[in-house]
Amino acid sequence: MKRLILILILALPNMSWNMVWQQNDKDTHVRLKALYVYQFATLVDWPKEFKQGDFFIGVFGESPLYNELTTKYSNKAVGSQSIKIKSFSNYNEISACHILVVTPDNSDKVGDLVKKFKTKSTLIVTEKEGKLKDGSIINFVVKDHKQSYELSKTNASKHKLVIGSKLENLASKVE
Amino acid sequence: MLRFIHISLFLLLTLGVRAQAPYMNKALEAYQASDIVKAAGYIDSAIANPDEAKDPFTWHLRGFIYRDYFRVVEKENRNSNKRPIAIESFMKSNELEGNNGENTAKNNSNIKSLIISYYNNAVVLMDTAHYRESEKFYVEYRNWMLRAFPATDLKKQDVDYYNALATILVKLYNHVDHHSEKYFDSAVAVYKKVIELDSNNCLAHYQIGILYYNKGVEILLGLEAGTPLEEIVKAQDECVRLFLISKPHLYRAWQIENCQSIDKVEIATGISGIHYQLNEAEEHQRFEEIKKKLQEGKNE
Repeated sequence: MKRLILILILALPNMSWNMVWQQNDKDTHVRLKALYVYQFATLVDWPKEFKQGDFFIGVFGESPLYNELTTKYSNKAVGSQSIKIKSFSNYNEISACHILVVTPDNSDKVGDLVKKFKTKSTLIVTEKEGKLKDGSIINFVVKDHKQSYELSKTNASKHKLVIGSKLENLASKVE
Repeated sequence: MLRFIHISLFLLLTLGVRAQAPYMNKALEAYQASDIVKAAGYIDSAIANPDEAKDPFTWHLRGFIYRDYFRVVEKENRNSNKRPIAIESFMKSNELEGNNGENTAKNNSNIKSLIISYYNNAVVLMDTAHYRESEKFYVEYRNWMLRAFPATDLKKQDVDYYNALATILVKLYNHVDHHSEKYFDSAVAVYKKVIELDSNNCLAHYQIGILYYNKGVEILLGLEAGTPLEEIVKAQDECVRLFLISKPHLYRAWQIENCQSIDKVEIATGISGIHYQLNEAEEHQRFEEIKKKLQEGKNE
């Protein structure tokens, strides 16, 4: 009898956690943010002069988001524009982009970036609470345990960007 | 097996041939001659004879004959109908003898070993192809055990068995038919059955936690580039629902003291992961530190 009980116990396979979130390439938070960024690209309307050439998405600061965007989205397009992903490690090297994602570590530079790209229709996306007040157009937030975003239509209009109704309707907050 | 027959023959010979028991005597003769099939025919006639059927020894002998029919003639075919006849016969012998009769000890020992053979069948069949049959034999084992020895406490065995069964269902879900809700739901239902039997079963709590956690993570990782916004939102709603089911089970597993089956590091890893998925940064960090300390403790 003892031997048989032992067989049963041995029959239990070793279960282990799928610790997939610990690896950057499989981090669910990063995966979601990249999915959102691509949706921002398709649901925001840029002025006519920015609808030609490549579609640039920049990431300012160290972030696994850059790799995720490069891997999954650099072969995609927004309308007829091919997506190109850029990474910037310091403020001075940042060039004009359609979308610029600013990491939390660099969020104190948002005000300067707004001024710098005042005429460039850059959709500035931040990841820190209160950044819409500094001029960011879309800010990633967590609401009810979920990754969400808030947006400022006022800031968008200052950059001649038109926020699509779907993007507006699904935002956790609209200013 | 021959040894068994030898022992039982020895026992029977010591009792000798009985008067007024023509069929039983013929059955005994046939059994002694190792003609078990013939013996079975005679002993069935014996129990149909009211005089012989009153004798506990008739049933005792019938138990042996059918036991060996099952073991020797049918080579322990798990679906043999001879096994239950053998158990019933030994039980009937006990019933007619009352407590501590001359055959009680032998009857009980045979009843036990035959019932355990159902358990053996259940264990051997515990794999992804035969788990349903395994459960059928386990239920047989349980029913017989409780009928023959009502005072038996099967709780621990039930817990072990159903944990093993759920693990097979998890295996089927993970490796055979990953999108099958059937296996997922069945595994969860069996683990919940374990928790009903033993609310402090940390393995079952932990496994339910894993199932829901992994399901949520897989939904998120399965979202493809270009998934429409409303679907992203919907997927997140579903994942949060799954993570919130997982969380209390993982905490329960964490709180259970003396959890032998799961390493604390594993549970801390799970809780850290669930907080991460639920965007609870502080708690995620706290459990990352707990995990680190546990790992350091292990390495020292």
